[in-house]
Amino acid sequence: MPHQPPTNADAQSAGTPPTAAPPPGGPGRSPAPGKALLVLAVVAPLVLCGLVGVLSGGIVATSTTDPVGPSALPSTDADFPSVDRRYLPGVKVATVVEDWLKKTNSYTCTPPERPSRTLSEAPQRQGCTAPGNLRWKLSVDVEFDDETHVRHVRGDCVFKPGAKVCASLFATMADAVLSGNPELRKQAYEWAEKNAEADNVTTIGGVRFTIKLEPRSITAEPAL
Amino acid sequence: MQATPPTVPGEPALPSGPAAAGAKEGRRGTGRRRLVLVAAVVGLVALLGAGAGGYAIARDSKLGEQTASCGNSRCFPGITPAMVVEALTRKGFACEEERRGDWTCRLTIAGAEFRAYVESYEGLISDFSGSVHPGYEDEVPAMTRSFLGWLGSIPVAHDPVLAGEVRGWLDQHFEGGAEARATIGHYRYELNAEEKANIDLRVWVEE
Repeated sequence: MPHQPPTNADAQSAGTPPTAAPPPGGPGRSPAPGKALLVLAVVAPLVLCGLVGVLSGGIVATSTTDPVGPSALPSTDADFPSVDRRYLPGVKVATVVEDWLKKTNSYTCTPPERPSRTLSEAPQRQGCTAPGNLRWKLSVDVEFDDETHVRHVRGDCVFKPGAKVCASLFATMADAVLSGNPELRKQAYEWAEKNAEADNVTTIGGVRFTIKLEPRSITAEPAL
Repeated sequence: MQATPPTVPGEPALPSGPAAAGAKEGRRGTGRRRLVLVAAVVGLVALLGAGAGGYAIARDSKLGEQTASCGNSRCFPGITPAMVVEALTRKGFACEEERRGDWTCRLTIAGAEFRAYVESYEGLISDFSGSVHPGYEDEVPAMTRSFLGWLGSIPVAHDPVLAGEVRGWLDQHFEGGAEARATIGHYRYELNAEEKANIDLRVWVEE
């Protein structure tokens, strides 16, 4: 039986359009699944790995990064409290106790009989009293760590207001405390003499002088 | 009847049957391998790129924060109790650890006690305070201003503008004779200067 080409009727009966052109790319092969796979191969890892990357990068950064703070503390200025500011600047025990009190004014100075807590927390103290009958009326207390570290000098005068002896004690004590500073010692002397009859305070040369009427006294301490 | 294509003598026959199917399979296998390769390269690039991006964004955001986490609390970033204790000890303050991580440092000058207290969690400071008792009744002396100004500017030491703001605020309120509160940076400041002889400053992290 000779081979017969298929007729249109045969093709129609098979459900194929008679004039259907072969798709591009070759007969019998559809490119659509290949392209779809390619798009999937790009998009799926892009989205999935991208998400994993963002999350893990974020977690690593959050757990390993600290907010910025100071890497060092601020610097301190000359006024900052420090241990060397606990002492009266330039004052020596010898100047106050030996020169002013003992030599010039014949005071008697002794350390306390029993160790007692000092006002300034200094480890040493000398209590000085005026000679003769004035011993109960005039006294000076000096608190210090060692010869060149004096923390506190206080003069007490129990005379009533108007007594020149108190003004003299206060003025000469202010002068002795600032004896290392020729320019300021006169100023300190004059201030103490002038204010001997009043409650008053002043700061001269890094020393704070406080005069009180009750009890009648003058105190010299390092200025804050 | 099966039609067979004519064979030209001297030419090899066209592939057909199982041999042709094998070649097709081969092409399909190569295609798959290519797809897997493309997916792997895209995935790797996406992972690295997005990872670097995520890291940079999270790091920037973290660096922009003004407070650090410390246990269940918020703390000053960068400042440890050891830094403060060391600085004050160098000035002659006596420091002691009252509880784990909580330190008190003291120095007495002319009867006035300068005191600093720091509270910390996990090595970072959450709260600190400074006080001077008793100072002068008639003025706030330079030493008190210097001490409290230094303490107050510790958390903003890396930012000169904020540090200036803290010192300015303190100077303004030392003389005010009142209790004052402020937020500077992300930190809370409270100054009690109702009595000039007894001044307290407290600084803590705003929650």
